[in-house]
Amino acid sequence: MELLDAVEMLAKNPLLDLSVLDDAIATRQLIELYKDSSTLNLRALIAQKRTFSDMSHVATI
Amino acid sequence: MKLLALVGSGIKTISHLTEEAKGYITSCDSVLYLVNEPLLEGYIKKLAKTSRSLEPAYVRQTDRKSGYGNIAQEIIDELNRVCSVCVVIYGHPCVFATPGLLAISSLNVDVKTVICPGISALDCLFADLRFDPANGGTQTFDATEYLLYDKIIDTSAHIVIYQIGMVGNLGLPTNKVNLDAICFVKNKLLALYDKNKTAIIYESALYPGTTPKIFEFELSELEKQDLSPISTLYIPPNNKKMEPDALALNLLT
Repeated sequence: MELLDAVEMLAKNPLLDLSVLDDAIATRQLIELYKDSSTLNLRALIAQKRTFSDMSHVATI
Repeated sequence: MKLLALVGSGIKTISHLTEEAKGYITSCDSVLYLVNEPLLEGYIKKLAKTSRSLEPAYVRQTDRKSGYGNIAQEIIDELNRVCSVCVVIYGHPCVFATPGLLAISSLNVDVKTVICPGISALDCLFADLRFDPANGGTQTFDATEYLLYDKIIDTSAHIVIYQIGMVGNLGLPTNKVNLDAICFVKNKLLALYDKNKTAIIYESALYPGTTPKIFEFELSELEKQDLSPISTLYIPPNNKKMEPDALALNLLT
C-alpha cells in the first residue's frame, strides 16, 4: 500500500490505529516521525522521498 | 459562463478537505494548487482531471508580494484557456491567502466566482486550545504587521499573533528567525502584560493521527522558544474582571 493510501485511510477513519502505516511503503524513520507528530520533519522527509514538490513555499528544513 | 472556484484544503492533510471542495476539484476542467503538504498534492492529482502546482510561480520571486502577483496572473491565464478552474489553497482561501483574492478582484464580471471556506489554523487553534473566541473576544494580527504598526491590544481578549516565527521576514518562508524582530515584538507585549504572563506557541497537526504542538512559556522568554514558519503565538485573556457600562446595562431587555 502506498503512503498516500494509508494517510487517506487515517483521514477517513480517525479511530484507525497508526500501525496501518507499517503496511504502507514507508521507512521506519518516516513511521517514527509520524508517531511522534514531528510534523515539519515528516513533511520534509515525504517531500524528499517522492516526486512531489519540495514545499519550499511553506518551509525549508 | 466561465467559473473560478477558490477552495481551501484546510490544514490537516486530506482530513480537512470538504465534500464541496472535492466536488470542485473533481469537476473543474483544470485544478491549480498551492498546498502545504506533499501527500495532499498527490491526493489532488488523483482526484483532478488535470492539475498543476502554483509553487513555481510563487518561488520565482524572492519576495512574497511579487509571488502573489505571479500566481494571480497564472490563474487568470488558465481561466482564459479552459471553462472552469479550481484553485486549491491550503487552510482557508481568504486567510493568509492573498493570491486567490487578488485573482478574483482582477476578473471581469462574466466570470462566475465561488469561494469555499477551509479550516484555517485559527479554527484548529480554537479547538486544540479549547476556548470559545466569542468569550471575551479575539484579536488576531500578523506578527510582522504587529511589529511595524501600533496596533491596540485589548488584554481582556484572546490574542493570536500569526506567523511569529516569520516576524520581520518579507521573503519566502524560512526557518531562520529574526531574533531582533522577535525581541521587539516581545517588548511591545511586555508593555501590556506582566513578564510572567503565560503564553503558548501553537502549531496545528498537519497529518491525520498526529497531534498539534502546544508549548506553554512565560512571555518574557519569547525569543528562547523553538519557532518555525507555522508557529502561532497565543496569549490568553488577563483575568481582570470587567464591569459593564452602566448606561448600556439599562438597554438590556
